[in-house]
Amino acid sequence: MFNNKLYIPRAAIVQDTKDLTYDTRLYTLKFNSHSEGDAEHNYMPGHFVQVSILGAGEAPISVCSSPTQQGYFQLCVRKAGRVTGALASLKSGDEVGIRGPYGNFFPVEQLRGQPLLFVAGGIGLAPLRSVIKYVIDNRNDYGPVVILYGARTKQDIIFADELNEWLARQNFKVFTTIDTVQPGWSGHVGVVTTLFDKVRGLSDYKALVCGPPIMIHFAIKELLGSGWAAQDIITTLERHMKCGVGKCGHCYIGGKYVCTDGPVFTYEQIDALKVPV
Amino acid sequence: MPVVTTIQIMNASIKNDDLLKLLQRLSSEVTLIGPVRDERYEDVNFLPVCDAAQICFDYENTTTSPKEFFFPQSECMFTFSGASHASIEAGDIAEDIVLFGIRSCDVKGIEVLDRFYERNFEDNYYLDKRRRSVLISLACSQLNDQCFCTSTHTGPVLEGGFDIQLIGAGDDYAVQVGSQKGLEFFEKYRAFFGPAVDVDVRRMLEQAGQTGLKFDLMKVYENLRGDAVNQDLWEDIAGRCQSCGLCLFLCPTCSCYSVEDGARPAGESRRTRQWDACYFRGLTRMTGGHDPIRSNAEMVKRKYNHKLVQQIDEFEMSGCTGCGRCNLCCVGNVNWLENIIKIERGG
Repeated sequence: MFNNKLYIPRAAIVQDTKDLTYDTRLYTLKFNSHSEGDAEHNYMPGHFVQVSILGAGEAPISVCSSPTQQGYFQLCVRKAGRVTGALASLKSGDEVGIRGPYGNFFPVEQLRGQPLLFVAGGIGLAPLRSVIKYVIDNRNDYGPVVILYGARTKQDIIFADELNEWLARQNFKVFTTIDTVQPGWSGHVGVVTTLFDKVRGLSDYKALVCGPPIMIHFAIKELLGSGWAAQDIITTLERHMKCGVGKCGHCYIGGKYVCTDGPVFTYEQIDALKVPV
Repeated sequence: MPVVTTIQIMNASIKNDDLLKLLQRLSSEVTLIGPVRDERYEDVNFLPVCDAAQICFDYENTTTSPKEFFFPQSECMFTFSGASHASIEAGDIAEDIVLFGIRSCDVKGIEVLDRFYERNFEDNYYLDKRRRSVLISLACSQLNDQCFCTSTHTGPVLEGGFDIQLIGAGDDYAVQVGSQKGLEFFEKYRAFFGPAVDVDVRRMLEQAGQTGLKFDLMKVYENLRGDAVNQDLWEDIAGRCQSCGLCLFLCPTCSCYSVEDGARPAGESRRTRQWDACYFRGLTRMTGGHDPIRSNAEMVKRKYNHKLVQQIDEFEMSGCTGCGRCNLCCVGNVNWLENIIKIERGG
C-alpha cells in the first residue's frame, strides 16, 4: 500500500512532466519519504490512485506505468476539471497527494501464456499501457500482442513514441486510427471498431478494452459479434468517485462499488449487473 | 474490532424517577443527547441536553434521524495550509456521548451504517464516534401511522443489536443490556437500576406483527431482484421526484457523501465531507457529461434496489428500517411505503 491512513493523502513529488498532447500530460512521481514496504512500485496494472491537490480536491486516476519499473510511478492526466486543471499547472519539484492504490487490477497472473488483444480509445490507452509495459518486461510469460488504438485526431494520440516503439517489437502488432480524415495523416481513418478487420479469427486472444463509454460499448459489441466470449473481454470502468474506498456512494451501480469491486470487470460481470458501461 | 460486541442479554429494570435521576447525572458527566420538543414547530429532535427535564418522552419519533451524531451533515476530514501535505492536521475529534431515546428502527439503521463503515476499509471518522457512544433505546409499543418496522423486521422491540433497551412497563421500564459497551455502562451506573423483570420480546413482536404487517419483505425482495416490477412505477416516481434529496438526508441508513476543499472566511483551509444524495443527478455525472444513470427512472429504481435487495444480500438485514420519515417529508408526494406495497404486487 502507498498509505494506510484512509483519507489522508501522502505527499509525492513531481519528478518530471511530459506533454503527450495539447491537453494531456504524463506525470512521473516519487514519494517524498518512505517507510518499509511502501515503495512506488507496490501496485498492479489497472490499479488507480486518488490524486489530491490541496485546495482543489481529489480525482481518481489509473496508474499508467508498470510496477516492473521501480523507483517511480506515472499518471497520464487529461486537463478536464478542477483537480486535473490544478494538476496541469504543476512543475517538477511540486507536491501532490496520493491515496491508494485502490480497486482491483487486470488479472495479469491468469493472463500468463495467453495472446493479448488491447483495444484502446483516446486516453483509455493509459491504464492499458501499464499492462503493455508489464507484458514487455515479462515478455516470455505472454503470447503475441495486438494493439488497436483510436484517437479523435492525430493531435489527440497519446504515447505516440511508444506506439512506434511497440510496433517495432517482435510478436507485437499495433494499428492506430483517427476518427476523421486529416491533412498530414496517411494512416487508417475511422473509429477504433473499423480496425476489427485486423483481428478476425483472433478470438482466442484475451481482449483488454478501455476508452470512453461509447467506445467501450461498441468495441464490446464488435468483439462479441466476432466470436469473443464474454469472460474473455476485460475492461476498466471510469466513474465519478470521491473516496476510492467504497464509502462515498458515487460509483455505486448494480450492487457493486466500481472503486472496490472494480474498476476492472469482465464483460460477463458487467452484463450480470444489468447496467450500462 | 466491531463497534458493537453483543453479549447474552441481561435483564434489569429502572423506575421512572431513577431514570430521570440517571439522565440528570449523565447530563453533567458526558455529552447527553436526547429527544427535545421544539415548542415553536411542535417537532421533536435529538439535541444536547443539559437538564433531564428537557427530555421529551411523549413522541413517536424524531424528525431527523440520529445518524448525524456519527456521520455529520458536514464534517472536517483534515485541515491544511498551502500546498504542503506536512501541514495536514486531523479533523474533528470524537467525544463520549450517550444517545438516549432512540427508537428501534434507528438502532437498526445505525447497525446498517456500522456494517457499512466497518466492511472493507474501516472509516474511522464514523467508527471513532460510534466507539465512544452508548445507545439507550426506547422501544415502541405499537406502530405509528407512517412507520412499518414490523415489516422490515426492525422493531418495534428489538431482540438484539442494542447497547441498552428500555421497554415501557407501567410507570417503570424493563431494561435489557445487549452489548459489552452497554454492560460497562450498566456496571458504572448500577445504583440507578433495579432487579430483573421478565419481558417476552418474542411475544411482543408476534403481537405487533399480527396487526401491523404492511408488506412481505421477501416478496418485495424477490420482485425487485427478478425485475418483476412494472416500469410505469419507476416512471411515476421519477415524475414526482423533485430531486430535493430530503428523503435521503432524513433516512437513517443513507450514507452517500461528497468531498470539498475550501477555505474558512478567517482561518485554515479544510477538506470536508458532506451528505450527498443519489437523487441528485450530479452524484454520478462525470466531468465531460457522461452519466451512467441515464434517466430519473433508473435513478429512483437504484435506491429501491440498494435498500431492499443489495443491502439485504450484503448485510442480511433490510437497508430500510421502516422509520417512515421519507413518507412524511416528500414535496412530490412520493410515498415510499405505498410504493413498496406496489412493488410487492408487481408494480
